[in-house]
Amino acid sequence: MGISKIGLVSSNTGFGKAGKEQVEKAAPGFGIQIVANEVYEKEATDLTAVVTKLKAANVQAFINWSIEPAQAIVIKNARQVGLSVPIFQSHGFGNIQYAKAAGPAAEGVIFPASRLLVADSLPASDKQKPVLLKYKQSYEARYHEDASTFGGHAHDALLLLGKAVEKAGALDKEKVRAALESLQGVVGTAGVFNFSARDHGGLGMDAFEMQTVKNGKFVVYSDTAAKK
Amino acid sequence: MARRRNLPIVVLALAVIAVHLLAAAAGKPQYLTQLTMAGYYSLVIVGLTLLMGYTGQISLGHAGFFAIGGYTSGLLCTYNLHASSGRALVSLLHAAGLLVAGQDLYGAEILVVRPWVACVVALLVTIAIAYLVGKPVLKLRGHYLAMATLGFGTIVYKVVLGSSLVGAADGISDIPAFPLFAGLAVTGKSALRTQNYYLAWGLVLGAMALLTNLIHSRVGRALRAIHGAEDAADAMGVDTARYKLSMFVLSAGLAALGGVFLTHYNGGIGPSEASIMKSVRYVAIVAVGGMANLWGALIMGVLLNFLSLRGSFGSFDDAVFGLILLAIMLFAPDGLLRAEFVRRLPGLRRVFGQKAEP
Amino acid sequence: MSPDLLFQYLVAGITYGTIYAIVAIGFNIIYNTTGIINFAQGEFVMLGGMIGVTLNAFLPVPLAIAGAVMATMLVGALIEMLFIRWLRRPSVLRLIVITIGLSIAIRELALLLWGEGVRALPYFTGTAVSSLSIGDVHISPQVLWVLGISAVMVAALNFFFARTLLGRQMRACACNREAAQLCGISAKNMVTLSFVLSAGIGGLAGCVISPITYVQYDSGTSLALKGFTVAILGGLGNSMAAIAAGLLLGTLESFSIWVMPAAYKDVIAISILLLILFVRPSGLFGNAEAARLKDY
Repeated sequence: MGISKIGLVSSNTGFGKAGKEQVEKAAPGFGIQIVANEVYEKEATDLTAVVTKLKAANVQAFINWSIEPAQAIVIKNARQVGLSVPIFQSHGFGNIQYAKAAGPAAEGVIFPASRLLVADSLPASDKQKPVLLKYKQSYEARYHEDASTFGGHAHDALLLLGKAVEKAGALDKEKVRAALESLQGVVGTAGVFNFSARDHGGLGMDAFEMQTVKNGKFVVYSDTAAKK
Repeated sequence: MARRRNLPIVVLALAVIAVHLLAAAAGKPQYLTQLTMAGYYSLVIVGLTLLMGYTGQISLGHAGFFAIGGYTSGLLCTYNLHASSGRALVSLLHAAGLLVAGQDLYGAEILVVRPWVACVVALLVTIAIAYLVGKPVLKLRGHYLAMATLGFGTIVYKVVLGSSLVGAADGISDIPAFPLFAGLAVTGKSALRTQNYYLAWGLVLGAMALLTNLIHSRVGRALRAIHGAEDAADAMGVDTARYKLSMFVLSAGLAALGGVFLTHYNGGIGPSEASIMKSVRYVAIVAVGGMANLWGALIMGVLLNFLSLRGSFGSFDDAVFGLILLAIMLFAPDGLLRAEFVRRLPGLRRVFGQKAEP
Repeated sequence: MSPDLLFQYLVAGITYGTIYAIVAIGFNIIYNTTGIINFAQGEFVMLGGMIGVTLNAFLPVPLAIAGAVMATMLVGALIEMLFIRWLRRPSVLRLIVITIGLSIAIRELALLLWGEGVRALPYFTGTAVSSLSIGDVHISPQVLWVLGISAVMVAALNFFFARTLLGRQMRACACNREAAQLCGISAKNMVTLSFVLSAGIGGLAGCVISPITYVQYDSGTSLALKGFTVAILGGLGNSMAAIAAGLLLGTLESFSIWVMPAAYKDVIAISILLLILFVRPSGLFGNAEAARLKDY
């Protein structure tokens, strides 16, 4: 996208702080300079002054790291003051309710999330697609609301634990842990999990897909899609 | 009179021992952990009772003092001076034995302030801040005093939340134990659980002894005069400004003491300890205890904090706290201990039921 | 710093300020009749917003707001009648702690009823991204709605307290309860009425600000803290002064973000407020004599 000067805003929570620190660490490696770096209150009712500061710093894009309601307020205020640069959000944006809450301000917001949100539009060859559709359909039938990535995490946790217990063949703590560490290729909602004794996260970068909001819906982000 | 006054202290000491034995007999030593923490919170509450109930000055910022104590001590004990060990000041401190060198988890050299030095500095810092804040703030009255102390609390909260030096939203963690003397250290390690329980409650007993004697002394009479009618007390030659300020500083010091010890006990402190809702909770507990009633505040403080720390009510913790506040204020406004049905219990009455001060 | 940006910070300050002010006005009514600070005022604001959004699912916005205001007023009346009316000579502090308890209880109840979701009414004019622009200075039309409705509210309250019999009766109770009762005014009814009015004002505020701030079961607390600060700063009981104080605090906060990291916004604003308070202990627009008589 040819962006070199960005703004970084985050909430004063553990989540906001963790995201801020990672962005600060990663930015120089991509030749990106953070020209405005602000932390705001998680209870903020309005963030016009903060986005004005971003505007004053002439940022070419900005990243926001927070959850509701601030993550919706910040994009609204940015658009209200005429800051029309690309906006990136954290994976905390991965619930269509949040996009709906921000209304037209959410259009074009870019964020990383698992493929659950765009399950319907995945190619049939996608390994995750059947798992995602099954989870999405059963969740939506049961709770009458759109599935979000967050509920998916709980689903994955239970799935993994079940697999590990099955593999260990016993409820012995040590054995279950060893089994958990050896799980490979388990398809969950967040991605395909491959654990090892050193990797307890299990997901690779490919678990995330950059997504954006278009006409009030999550779609996979691509440069061409953005230009349209 | 003095004997009667000290009777509750003795009863409390016996109760502390009895609770320990009961917890041990019931095979639930983990209760002592929450009781230790509740004990440290009680230091804030009895100090605030002195200020609110006896001196008549409200403070909506006492969590701020608790946090200043805990944060100062925590920061000094974890801030690595190794890189600047060449500096004259640092080497001077090191030579004076105020610093302690060691290695962190990854084997890197660290040089930090000794915990007892940190504790003393934390208390002195809090007292200095309380003095500087109290001086102008205590000239205000009523709602303006409430607003000013609330403002002070907000400032402390936002400063610790906004400063990366003290870990911003994450707070300070990995705070080392606070070794006192042979074998005794303020730490959350379960091997020292019983010792820490007695340490916390020893401090509470000390504070209660100090405060109960204080309120029955000349100072206490002056305080009651201030509470009753400040202008009249002033006219009678009571130096109201000085008394109010000393009580403010004393209660802030007690809050900081609780903050320092709890921080070392938990091994960490976070910004929520400084939040306004914490301050409001402290004020509410003082009110529920019966305002000018040190024993009531202590009992309610321990009870509510213990239940809350145990997580007895799960996700309804706040709701239960609110309902208890409501119920007591509606049906036993002078605190549970002075409620009619408690007064009828003759034994309790003899120990705790002294005539209510105004 | 271009003048456009300077004005943009000012606009941000006005936005913050109007939100604080509209919340602060609610504190004043109950304070005027009873002398207590109602810690549950923020919950009235939250309830207004929540009920408004819920009703908006099947009613147009104006009707939803009217319904929300009425429902919040009903809650205010119920609270007063269930928890306050029957107390005999309650102390001010007792009443304050009761309102603290109520605020916690209402918040938890809202969590049970509505869950943790974040909601908002639609913008009254335009959408979330529309703004009125003068040069490169932009303001959301909703801010003007909040400002306008606050002004109308203050005017209506002033008229009510100065011109109507009921309003005068309420003021009489505030001045001297015993004397008012001797004149045949039911002090108890006046207190109930003050809760109803405060709740209604809070409910309306909650609806009007929700497009800007969103509403969530726990959004009352932080709003109330700011509203409380502003109400006292202006001088308790004075609604006009609350608006002025709100705008002052909001502007201070906004400009503090210009010069300092946003994380210290409250630190700067409140430090300045405290300094002002030390110079003028009765509040910016308050009456020094009256302030001395009030205890907590």
